[in-house]
Amino acid sequence: MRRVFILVAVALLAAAGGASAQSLLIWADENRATALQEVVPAFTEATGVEVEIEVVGFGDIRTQAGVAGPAGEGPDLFVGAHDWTGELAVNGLVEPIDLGARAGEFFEVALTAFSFEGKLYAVPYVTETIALYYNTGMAAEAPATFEEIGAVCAALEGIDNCVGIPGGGDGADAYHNYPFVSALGGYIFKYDAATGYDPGDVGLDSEGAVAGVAFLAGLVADGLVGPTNYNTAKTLFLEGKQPFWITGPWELGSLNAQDSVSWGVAKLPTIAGQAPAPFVGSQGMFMSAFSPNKVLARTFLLDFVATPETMRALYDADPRNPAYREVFDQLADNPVAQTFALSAADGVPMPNIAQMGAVWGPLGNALLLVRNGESEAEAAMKTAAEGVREAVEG
Amino acid sequence: MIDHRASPAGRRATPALGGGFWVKLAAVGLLDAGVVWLIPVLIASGSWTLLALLLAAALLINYAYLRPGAVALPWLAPGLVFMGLFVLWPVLYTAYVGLTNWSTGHILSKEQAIERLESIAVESTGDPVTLDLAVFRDAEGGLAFHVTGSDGEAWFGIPRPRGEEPGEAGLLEPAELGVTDEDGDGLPESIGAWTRLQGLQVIGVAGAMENLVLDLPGGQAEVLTTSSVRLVASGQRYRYDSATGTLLDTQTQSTCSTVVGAFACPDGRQLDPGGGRSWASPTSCASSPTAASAARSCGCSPGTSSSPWPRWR
Repeated sequence: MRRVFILVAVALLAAAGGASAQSLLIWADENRATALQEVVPAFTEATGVEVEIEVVGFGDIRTQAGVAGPAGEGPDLFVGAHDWTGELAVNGLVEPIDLGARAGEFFEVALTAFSFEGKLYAVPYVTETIALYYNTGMAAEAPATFEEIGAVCAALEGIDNCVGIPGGGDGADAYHNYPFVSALGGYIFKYDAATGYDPGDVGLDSEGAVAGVAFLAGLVADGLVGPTNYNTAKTLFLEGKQPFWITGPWELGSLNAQDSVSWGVAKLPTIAGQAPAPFVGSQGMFMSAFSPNKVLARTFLLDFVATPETMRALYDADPRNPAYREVFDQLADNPVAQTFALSAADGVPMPNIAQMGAVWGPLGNALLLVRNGESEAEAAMKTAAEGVREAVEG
Repeated sequence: MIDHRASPAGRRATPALGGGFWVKLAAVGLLDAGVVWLIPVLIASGSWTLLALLLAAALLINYAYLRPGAVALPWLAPGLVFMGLFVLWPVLYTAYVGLTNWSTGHILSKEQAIERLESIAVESTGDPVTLDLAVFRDAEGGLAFHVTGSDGEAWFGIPRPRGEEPGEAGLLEPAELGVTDEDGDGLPESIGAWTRLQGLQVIGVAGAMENLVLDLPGGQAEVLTTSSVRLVASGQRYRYDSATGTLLDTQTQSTCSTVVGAFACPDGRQLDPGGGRSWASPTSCASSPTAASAARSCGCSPGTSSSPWPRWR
């Protein structure tokens, strides 16, 4: 019995601390785990450090990191989205990352996305945003303005809708309609590079935001933008009944899977002469504050992940636009990647503070009313702004 | 309950010490051994609720399987245990969590929050400076750091754990110890008794490099990776004094005191475990001189939790 007890104790000790001395545990969702699985053997070969990749559902990573980390059972590194940053940092669950002079190797928009209160919390590897898909059978060239779009649609017969944007009908969608809010100077929370977002300054009813949304209301009144929800916009475009569709690279798969519609992708059309600023999302790798191997984990992140080879391998396994400049430069002859990058360059990072949770509902509903022609821009945006202020002040 | 001992079914279900009885006895014994093993573990971690529940479940199982007349209970017992685990426990636990301040910024224990805060360095005033690091080791396994700045200036010395005060060893003069640089790249292969670690050897001591700092003329070098350090003004911004329960902010020389679930600093803001500062809501609670009691009475945080920090076990 005593021997058994000792054996059990030794096994427990080994499980608790011994095995972690020279190995790393990474949490990633299924897609990215596959991508990482292909590149880590090179690290193990070069350093002798075992890297274990555990598949955890993307949403579960966010919640489980807060439970497993403090209990000492969490990963050393985990893949996550930039809008988790604020919550993870406030909870003290992630370690700041100092890129030093190497910050220039990444697109600034991705670094901003993962920064909270002046500190960077993840090494970004993907940026994504929305752009304009167009049916090349209906529009030979990508229109640069909504006026040009109007001209194209006026000349076409038998279309059900001109520009398909999610967020109409029964499906509120603040994300896809945000370019109209931001194009003429509107914003959700005031951003300052030194102090970050100020939840006390809500700009949804600012002059620029109202003007931009009024422009959207004009497009609705002119019949250019119909009351399409996400699926209607998608279906109409794929059935060839709608020449234009605004959405992100996550639909590239369904576009490539069909051959009835030939398509191209372009930057978002300008809004009253201004380039709109869509939300840019980013994905990257966080480092747990509870990692027992911080030096090793940071070495893995900075000396192995943040290299052209690994970043390229990650792109090849999961072709979303790289946040790493050198890999993006290799995609010079990939028009789709180039277009989404141009669109992202105009974009703004989606705020990563916890208060964003109070925005999606009120803003989405306000824009839904405008999209369905049920409300004036100014009244809708005032309601949205008041709703957000109320929620933020608690 | 029906008395099964009197019924024919009861007699059929309890054969006199057949093979099945010994199997059952062994299984229950094994279970009890596990429970006995867990008791000191749970006492050590102070998980009294769990201990009580465990003992209750163990008693139920022992009673259900060893009492000769209990016919229905052996069949019900596993279901009852699992029902308690998956239905009853979540309900009770949710109610408990609802009465604590568990929320964003309040998910760590106080000890963990202090540990996190004490790991924060005082940033240098300019841009953060990253320097190249080479690790040296002597025959006894003692580590020494060789740090090279971007202008080529180099320092060599014995690092110290970040929590300790600077000792006398500190920086050494490589020229006095004897430098070997056979390949002439400016980075010595050995300095005195220390030999430079290369490639895999450095990865091998990565664990030992956690939390080491080297005092340099311009501040402290914190280990970032196995080949780089970061220059910070001083290694530790916050120091916790367990006697007074206060946290000293060495950068501003101010003292933050414990309130319910956070440290309240003299500027009226609360420190979150990530090192950020936020205005407490409502502010009047946090700035009260007797914040801990005031916070409870004015509703900053539910007063039902006896510990000012959420506890998660």
